[in-house]
Amino acid sequence: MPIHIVLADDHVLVRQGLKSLLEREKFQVVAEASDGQEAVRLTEAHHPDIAVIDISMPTQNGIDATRELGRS
Amino acid sequence: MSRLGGFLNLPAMPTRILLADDHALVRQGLKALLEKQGFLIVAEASDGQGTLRSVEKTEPDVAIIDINMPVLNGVDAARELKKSSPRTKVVVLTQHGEDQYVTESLGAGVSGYVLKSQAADALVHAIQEVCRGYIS
Repeated sequence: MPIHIVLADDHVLVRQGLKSLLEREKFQVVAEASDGQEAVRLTEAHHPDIAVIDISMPTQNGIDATRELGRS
Repeated sequence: MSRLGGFLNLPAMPTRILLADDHALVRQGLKALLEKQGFLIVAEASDGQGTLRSVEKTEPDVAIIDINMPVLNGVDAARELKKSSPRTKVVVLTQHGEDQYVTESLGAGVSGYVLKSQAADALVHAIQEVCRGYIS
């Protein structure tokens, strides 16, 4: 089974680049988020093995999003 | 560039690209993304001076340059590059959407301006357009 990943970064091009890079290495990107709240929502919905989260994001930053994920 | 190959009925040559960004992970991601689209990454640079050296050495069709880079920023690098290697088209790829950056980039001879918040299609489109001689 490939390792499932949720990618969170507010720059679409950066996300798409990372996705191409990770998929080439056989990881499976199951969802992409552009802010902290979306990262929390998609991580709770998809239960990935790993959530890769940028710190500087609108709405809710990556650290607060990670804190919230730790609680849930 | 690929258009000439098509005109002469020769196999299409991939567009040769230099990638300049001070974040290695961003560069590697863009490289993977563009290679999937059939582009050839001939060089990478992490600052403006390195960009100039690599462009002189590899003469790419297109240089994709971030604005925020150490030593020499992307706009100043583009200005120098247009003097030393006028055949290479420059596409700025940045997080800055403010008019001031766009105007300064166009003044430096940049042919394309793409935001990192745009989708990959926008970057691919800009590369294709600047190769055709348009401003994108």
